[in-house]
This record gives sequence, structure tokens and C-alpha cells, in this order.
Amino acid sequence: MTPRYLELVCPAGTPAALRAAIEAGADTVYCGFADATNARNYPGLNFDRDDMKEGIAFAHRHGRHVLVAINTFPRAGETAIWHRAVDDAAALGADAVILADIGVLDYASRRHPDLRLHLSVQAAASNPISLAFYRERFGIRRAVLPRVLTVPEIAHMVATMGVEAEVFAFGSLGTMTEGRCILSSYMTGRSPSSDGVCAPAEHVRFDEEGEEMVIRLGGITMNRFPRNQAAAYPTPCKARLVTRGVPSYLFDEPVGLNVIDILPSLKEAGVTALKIEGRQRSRAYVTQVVRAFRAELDALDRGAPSPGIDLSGLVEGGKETFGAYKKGWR
Amino acid sequence: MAIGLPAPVFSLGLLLRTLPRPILALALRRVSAGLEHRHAALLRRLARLAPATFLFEPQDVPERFLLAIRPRAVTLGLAAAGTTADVTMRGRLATLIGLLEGRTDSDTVYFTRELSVTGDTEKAVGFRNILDGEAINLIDDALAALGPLARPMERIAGRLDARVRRIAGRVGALGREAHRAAHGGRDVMEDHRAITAGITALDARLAKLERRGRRAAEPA
Amino acid sequence: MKITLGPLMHHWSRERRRDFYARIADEAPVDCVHLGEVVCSKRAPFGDPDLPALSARLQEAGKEVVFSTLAFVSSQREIDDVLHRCDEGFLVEANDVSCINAIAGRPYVVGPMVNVFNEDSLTYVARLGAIRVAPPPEVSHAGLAVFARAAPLVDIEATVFGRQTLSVAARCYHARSRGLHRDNCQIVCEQDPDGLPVSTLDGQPIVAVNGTQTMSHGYVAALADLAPLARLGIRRVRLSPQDLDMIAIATLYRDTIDGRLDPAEALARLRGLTGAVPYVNGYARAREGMAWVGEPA
Repeated sequence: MTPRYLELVCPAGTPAALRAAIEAGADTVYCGFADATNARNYPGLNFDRDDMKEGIAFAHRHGRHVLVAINTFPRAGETAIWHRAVDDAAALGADAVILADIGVLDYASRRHPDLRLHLSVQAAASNPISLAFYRERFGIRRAVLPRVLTVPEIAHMVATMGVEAEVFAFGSLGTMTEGRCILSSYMTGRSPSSDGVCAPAEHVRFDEEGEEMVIRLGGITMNRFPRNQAAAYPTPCKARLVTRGVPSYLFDEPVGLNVIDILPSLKEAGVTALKIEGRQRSRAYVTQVVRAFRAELDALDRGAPSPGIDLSGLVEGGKETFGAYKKGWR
Repeated sequence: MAIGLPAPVFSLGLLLRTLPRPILALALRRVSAGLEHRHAALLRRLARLAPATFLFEPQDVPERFLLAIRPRAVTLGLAAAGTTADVTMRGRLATLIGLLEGRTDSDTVYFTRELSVTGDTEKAVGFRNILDGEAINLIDDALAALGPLARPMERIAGRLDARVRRIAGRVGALGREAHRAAHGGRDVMEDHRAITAGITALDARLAKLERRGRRAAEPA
Repeated sequence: MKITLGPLMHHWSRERRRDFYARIADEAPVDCVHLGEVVCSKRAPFGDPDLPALSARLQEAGKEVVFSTLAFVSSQREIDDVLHRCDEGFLVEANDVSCINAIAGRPYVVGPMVNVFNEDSLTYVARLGAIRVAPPPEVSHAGLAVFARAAPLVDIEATVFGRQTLSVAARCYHARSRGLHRDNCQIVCEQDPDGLPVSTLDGQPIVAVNGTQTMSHGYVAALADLAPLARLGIRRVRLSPQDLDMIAIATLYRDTIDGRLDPAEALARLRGLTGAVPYVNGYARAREGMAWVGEPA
């Protein structure tokens, strides 16, 4: 099989970031509406309907695509908001919607048979049988694979799943299976699954206590950083916790995913698209990361050596990882 | 990692350290008044955070700056001693300006501890995200806001880069306006001599600071 | 109202499991018992050899037996395990979408680790054969009422006792806490029959690690909610096994449901059975999960 072109899918939390991503060389931009229907529902972020219309028009003028993430799980009695988001994304000309909830997938596939559906990583489809469920019943065309698979496992999935595979290439790496972690709502009451927000800002406190910076989520101490030590996100999965009297990063160290060094093997594995994480990040981040990946992918296409662009300064803890792509992470 | 740290910021720091406080305060009032014309959409979005106050504490500048967002107005001014705010952002001047202009990624400088944010995190995150949605350039804004040029202040900035030199010039003009307003019909030449003497003193102080700054910037 | 004893989430030794289920069969006033491994395929690499005997004994004692399946399914062995379970003739609890796909068309149970958050997803899985759904911990009791109205033929099973699963992962935190990888974990999770206690740097107990899963430190203890749940149309409640006298606990719930015991009195007696672990009921009230709303217990 000839390895195909790797599509670069980039985050945009604001219209300015969407333009920045496209100017930096994104093939596709993903973004969401400014409400709980998307999994990065942070204050001041995301697109109202007019922003979305303009953003899609801008991308299409440049020959690029826009995916609208409607990738959270409506609570009982609240499904109408998600239905409206799907309807609006279709009406505004989105190239695809990224969905996770079975009910929302069912609605979109019945109501908008021509709308391209992508399966969100939040659906946590970690095996070919789960993928077949979404493919056969809702006609998904692409799935974003959970960040828990090794490259050989991805290759096996791609060979059997019957839809395009999108994998994470760069950004923050949760260690829990996506869409299956409610630690944050246990402490704050707002849910990553249904409110689209992990470690909601109104429950996060950064306090300076003597020489330490203390991070609390819902009043629960997540971490204490001595001066000059690299900091982590205030999410429970990056907390420093104590077991048997020993403090440690029990779930994961503050590190960020970067697959630049294994791009050729992901391409060989038959992956269709690479996803940059970070709709909550600034357009400065978007510009730098997208530009770097554009250069790396162009070099890979030409058979030229990797430009070796260093992005380590942008990731959590200033440290990069291959995450689950390499054996031993589990 | 410092992202695109521009030379003007370094010079601007020097300027902030050397300008007399009343002149700086007046300049900031002009800048915040000018924002309404240049960034009306941004101010409308910021108004969603109202009421909110943000205290910026550049670690390398003696002044602290207070941004107050009210439903109908956004004002930027010098913070009086003891001022507290909903959110306090502390870091080097270059870091703070880079953040405000969207050139610096806030998560990055948070990870590396170059930025410290305390207080109401929801307002801080909202502020960051709203600001990041609009390309602003504080130095151009300052230039646009400060009005007509005046020569004496430009001399101070002789060694500074062009953009900061232009700000310095306009701040100088502002200083003379302020002086005139405060002293009514007094002898303009007398005022001019006083200002010139003050400027000469500032000039010497600036040169000293710049030398010190350069030494500090050299690798050990 | 029927009582289900949910699947054993923690890893207990073979002897201990055998003794536990033998006593449950003989003494526990529960109507339904779940067997089978949910958390980690490494805990019973060749299947649990005691399952046939245990399930027979439970059925002889008049209890319905449901086989629970893995919550995280990725390797071929895990896939085979799920497919095999679907063909054993028992009612199966799906804890991953793969299992729903494998069993669709036959009756099955949906466990709390499948994201059925709303009435649309509920009716969809019901159309595929789900006869009983235990919704995820985050679904509030108000949400359960919506569920019960949306699918009156489906039994909505509310979890009313035990630790709540807060996260599912591929990585094993039990192994990690011992400096081991999951591939060579030495089954260290067996050392903590009620989960590995996890505290903050300030000494506040917050969660319990259970292999690849994270669970709430607090126990759900919804004795006071049993009557209100019944009024919402909930016909089944689930107790999640902890390293406690589950027979005594099941009896407290049975007696409260049947009106032989006042809920406040039952809660006070429960306290005597569970030690100092805090109780939680925040999710049921659309609050943070770790909250306890009501009289201090």
C-alpha cells in the first residue's frame, strides 16, 4: 500500500486561531460552538454562529476544511441543544461534524444523511468491533482513535476498521481513556462529558504560599510547585498524589505528546489524519505547532530529512513523550 | 521558551522605569481612551467579564498596572500602592506584553513559571481567551493614542529603537501639556528649561540603566 | 424493588472470591448477582475457573446471574473474551460498546461504564435489546426519572452503594504506584482488596486506585433515596461490592426498601459497618460527586 497524504488537522478556539492555523498550513481546522456541545467549553473561547459561518467561509476560500466538534454527551432532557448544533453545523457548511454520543450520532445520521460524520475520541472506540458499531449504524467516515494504542495496534485497527483513522500528533495527553473520566466532576460538579470542561476555570485556584505555588481544583490540592519547577495543568490526571506515603505523579507526569520523530511509522500504519490538540491554547501556539508540522510533513512527502523543529518549549512540563504509541507506556 | 521577544519591549521597560509617574499615568489614560476607537469589538467582548479588575505586575519595572473592566468602559492605569484586583498577573514586562498582544502562549509561560496568575481563574482564562481572539499591538496602540510629537523627549530615546522612540516623543509632549495645564500662564520658556533639565537627568539615568541592562543580557 | 449485587470491581484472591459468593448465595437478600471481570484482562488470563460452579450455586439459591464484561477492550484477547461471554447463554452486562455490538439483537444489560447519558442513547441501546441499564455515575436522580419515563420497559438500575468508577484507562496505576509496567504488573492490585487509597499532598484522601481504574474514595450510601427512587419509577438498585460485610449491608438495604427499617436508622447502622470512609451522593443531586447532601452520616 502506498502511504497516503497525511492530513493536518488543527485546533482553533477562536476565529483568530482558525485564520492563524490556515495561514500556518493547516489542511483542516476543527472548532466548536461556544457552549457545552464541545469538549473545550472554556470562558471566552469558541465560535458563535456568525463566527462559525465566517470561519468556514474563510477556510473554504483557502481550499481548506472545517470540522465542527459536537463531541460531548447531552444530559437527560438536554438533547435539543446538541440537535441544534448539528443542524447549524450542517447549514453553515461544515465539512464534517465530530460526534461522540450514540443519540446524537443517531440523530445526525437520520436527519442529515449527507453530512460527513467523524467519531470523536470521546467515544473511546478502542477496538475494531466498537468501530464497526459506529460505522455500520451511523455511517461514520472517520474515527479519532483513543490515545492509548501503540503504533502496531493502530496499524491493525486501520487494516480492519473500514473508516479513516485520525490520531493525535501533538499536545496535552490525558492518561485516562477519553470520554471515560469524570474525576474532574467528582471534585467540581461540572462534567468533562456533559459540560465539555475538565478542571473548569471557576473551580481552579493558583495560590502563592511562601515559596510554593499551590494549585487547587474544587478546593482539593492538585499540586504544590517549588519556585522554578515546571508546572502542570490543574487537571486531576496531572495531580501529584500520595500512595503509601509516597508522593508522585500517580497518573502521569506533566508531559506533552509529540509524534514528529515517529511520523514515518504513523504514515506507514495507514493513518489518514494527524490531529493537533489545543483548542484552549493561544494562536501563538497554533501558529508555531502548525508551521512546524507543515514543514515536517512537507519534508516527509518529498523524502527530505526532518527539519527537526523543537517544540518542547510549548508542551506541559517542557517535556515531550510518544505516549502510548511506544510500548511500555501502560 | 521566549516567543518572538521583540526589541521594543526591552526599551519600553527602560522607558517605564525612567518616566515620571504623572506623565505615565496621563499616557495610560490616553492609551485606554484610544482603545475604544481601535478595538471596539474587543472591548465589547471584554465587557462580558465585567465587573473585573486585572493587576499586572511586571517584575522588572517598578510600576504596577490596573486594568478595570466595567460594563461600559475599560480603563488602564497605574495601580496605587496596596491595590488588589480579581486577578493578578506577574511576570517580566516582555512576557506580559507578549501575552496581551497574543504573541506569547500563556500556557507555555505558565508551564515554565515565567507567568504567575493568582485570583479568579475564570476571569483570567476568559480574559486570555477573549484577548487572544483579536490581534492587538500595544505599542502601535500607544503610538496612536498619544497624540502630537515633541522633540525634547525624543532625545532621551536616542538610543532606543524607532517605535519606542516615537512613543517617548509623544509621552514627552504629553508631559509638557500636563505641565502647562498644571501651571497655567507661567513662562513657557521657564517650563521648557525645567523640562529640559529634567530630561537631561533622565537621560543620564537611562544611559546607566541601559548599560546595566546590556550587561545583564550578556551570557555569563 | 429488586437488589442487584454488581460486579466485583476489586481483585480478590480466588479463595476469597469463592467464599464471598458462596455466602452471598446462602445469606444475602439480593435478587441478582453479577460475576465476571470488568477492570483488567490480566487478572483472570484464562478466565475464572470457578465461574461455572459459582454461577450454578447462585442460581440454585434463586438468584439471577449476569456476566459482566470488560470496560476496556483493545487487545485481541480482550475482544475474544467479550465475544466468548456473549455466547455462554447467560445474561451479559456490556461495559464497552464492542459488547453491545456483539450482543445486539439478544437481551442484555448496559453497565455504568457505557456512556448512556440521555434518553436518546437509552432508547437506542434499548432498540438493540437492552432490557436493563445501569447509567453512569454522573446521571443524577432527576436524570434517572427522565430515563424511566423515556423507556418504561427498560429497568433503570440506580447504584445505591459502593465506590463509583471515576476513570477507565489502558495504563495500570496500581502497577505504576509500585514502579512497574502493566505488562509486568505482578498483579499487585490484589494487595488492596478495597482499592489503593490515594491522598492529596495535604493528606486528604480523595480517590482509590483499582488497577487501571480510579474510584471514588467515598462510598455512595443512598439509603435515604430508596423510597424517592421507587417513586421515580426505579425498580432496581445496585450495590457495588466492597471489602465489607456485604451481607449485612444488603440486609440493611432490603429492610429499608421493605419498610422494616427507617432510612436514618439504616444509615446509622451502615456507618457501623463501613468505618470512617466518607459517604457521597453529590452526583445523584447534580452536584460534585464527592459531596454529601443531607444529615451527616
